[in-house]
This record gives sequence, C-alpha cells and structure tokens, in this order.
Amino acid sequence: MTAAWEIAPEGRAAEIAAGLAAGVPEIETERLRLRAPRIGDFAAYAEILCSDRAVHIGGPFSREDAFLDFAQGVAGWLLRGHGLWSVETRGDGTLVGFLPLHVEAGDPERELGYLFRAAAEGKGYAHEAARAAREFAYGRLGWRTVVSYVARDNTRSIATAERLGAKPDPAARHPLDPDLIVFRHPAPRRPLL
Amino acid sequence: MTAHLSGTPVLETERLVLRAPAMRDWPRWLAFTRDDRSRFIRGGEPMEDGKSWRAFAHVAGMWALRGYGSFIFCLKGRDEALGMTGPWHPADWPERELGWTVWTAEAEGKGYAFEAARRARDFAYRELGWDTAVSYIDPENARSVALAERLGARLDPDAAVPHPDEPTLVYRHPVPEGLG
Repeated sequence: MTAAWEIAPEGRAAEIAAGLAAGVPEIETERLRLRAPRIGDFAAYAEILCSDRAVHIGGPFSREDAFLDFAQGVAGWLLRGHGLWSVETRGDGTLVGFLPLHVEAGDPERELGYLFRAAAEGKGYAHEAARAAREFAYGRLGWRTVVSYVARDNTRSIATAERLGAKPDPAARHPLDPDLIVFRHPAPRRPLL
Repeated sequence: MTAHLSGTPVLETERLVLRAPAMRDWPRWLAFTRDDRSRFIRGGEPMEDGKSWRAFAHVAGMWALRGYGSFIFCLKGRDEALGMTGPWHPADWPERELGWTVWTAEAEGKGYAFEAARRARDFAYRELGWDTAVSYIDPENARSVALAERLGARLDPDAAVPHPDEPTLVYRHPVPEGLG
C-alpha cells in the first residue's frame, strides 16, 4: 500500500505541482527521456537508496532519509535552476533511474551524478542520460566544467565516468571525503568565435 | 539565482507576504538552525550545516512534488524571511501538518507567526481542500503550544505521532465555519 505521504497530489495542489514540473526542462535521447520527478517516482528512488546499491554513496539509507534526499534533489530546480531528473524509457515509460545535476551541501563544485535501478543495468542508460545532461549543463546552463564524485571501489560507476570521457582530477578533492575520486568531465567545445 | 520555476501561490495578510522558499532564504535558515532557537526541531542536538541544507532544500522540494508546502513569511515590502509556516507532509508522518518556525528573536512577540499560520491554514482548507490539520509540538516548546492554542487548535490525545518514541503533543486545528 502506498504510504499517506507518498500519495500523488489532487485538485489545486496537483495544478501547482504540474505548473512547477512544466518548468523542468525535458530532454529526449535516442532511447530515454529525462523529465521532472513526480511523487510516484519515489518508490524507485527508495529502491535504489535503501538497498545495497547505495553502499557507495553512504547507504543503504532509511526510507525517511531517502525521501529527504529525493525532495532536496527535486528542490534544486526551484532553488538553483538545475536539479534531479527522473529518467524513463521513451518506449514504454519505464522508470530506469535518476540523473542529478546538483550541488550537495559540502560539495566544492557542481556535480553530475547517476543513479540507476538494478534492472536497468548493462544497457548503457546511465551513459546516455549523463551525456545528455552534460550537454544541457554546458549548453543551456553555460557551465564550463562539471565533475562526478565516485567512490574508489565503485567499479561500475568508474566505468561509466570513463566512458563519458571524464578523467580523475588529482588537484580537486572532496573536503568531506578525500577518498572519493573526482572525475572531471571534458570541457565544452570552444565556440568558433 | 532566482527561482526558475513559478506558479507557487503568494499569500498576503495585513502585515505579511507568504511565498515559497527561495535560495536567498538559505543564509537566514542556516543562522536559525545554528541558533538555540531551533532546538525543538532538531531534537536538542546540533544540526550540522549539511543536514541543515537538506532540511531547507527538501522543504522546497516538497512544493514541486506535492504542489504545496511551507511558506516563507516576510514583512510586506521587505523580502527578508522571518520564519516559515504552512501545510506540509514529511516522510513517515501519519498525517499532514501545519508547521511553523520563527527564525529570530526580533520576529517574536509581534503576532507574525499567528498571522502567517492562520493564513496558511486557510489556504490549506480553502485552496487545497484539507478537511483537518494537526500541528506536532515538543511539549517543552511553550511558545509553540501558546501559538497552537491561539489558533484555536486543541490537544488530540488519540492522534498518531510521527515518532512514538519522542514526546510529542498533537494539536488539531478547527475546521473553519462553512467548511468541512
């Protein structure tokens, strides 16, 4: 049963939520769609954060902590103009993961993250979604650089970062966890003029 | 950076404006969570800045997810957050709450929180269609208890509490005339 606090809004609240969601940019890639998160997506977010999949990012978390994290990710759109996307397949709308373009408390710079469900692994989805989000960050947001913070033993995440062309930046360290590898993404292509 | 999303309601009272949280409110929120005034909302333990950010940001995130949330209240013509109040529903809470915090001593004792909370409650009933609302209060938070009573809320001893292992008073608000 869906918990009371996970039920989708109705009436005027649903209108306000839809108005806010409409302000979140939607991006389509070959197979995926990055869109505004909805309350119904939280179950999938919790599935990732409350499981061993979250061991590399300080988890597994309680459902309550996962909600705090989910809501603050979504809040990025409201507070900063960039935040958390839900990622679904264009084909049948299956929710496959989440793409945060964010700054968490204590992060020295802005980060591109990727959180995908176990069932969505091995298909290159994280790569495809992250590349599109990075293009958005460089293009629409005008960022000149972005990093991904990856735990040293998170081999899958390291592989994704490398496939994205990101390289460990020994000059950049995370003050709260110096053991994280800071992968710096390739800079945007310089404009011709 | 200003909000890139719009469409959240802005409410007014005689002296105040109530609006959704924005990035510019963060420094004042942080000062509040570092101050002794916030002890009742952090279980008496210090709140590290990272946790404070999460708490602040998730309040804003709930606006996007639920279509309602806590309002920042400011004096008309001065966009400085005095505190926060409004309908919200944090994870694991048994029902929706009308919450409030007053961030500085200067904002206290003037009836601002009362004025703002009453307006936010009216919004919950009239705009969101709520048929009831509670406020969860630490029994030692005498100022908050006084505000709940001034708002006409009464203790509901049968209501469930978010964390049964922590002493919590549940005040249930009256449904306004003509509604409910």
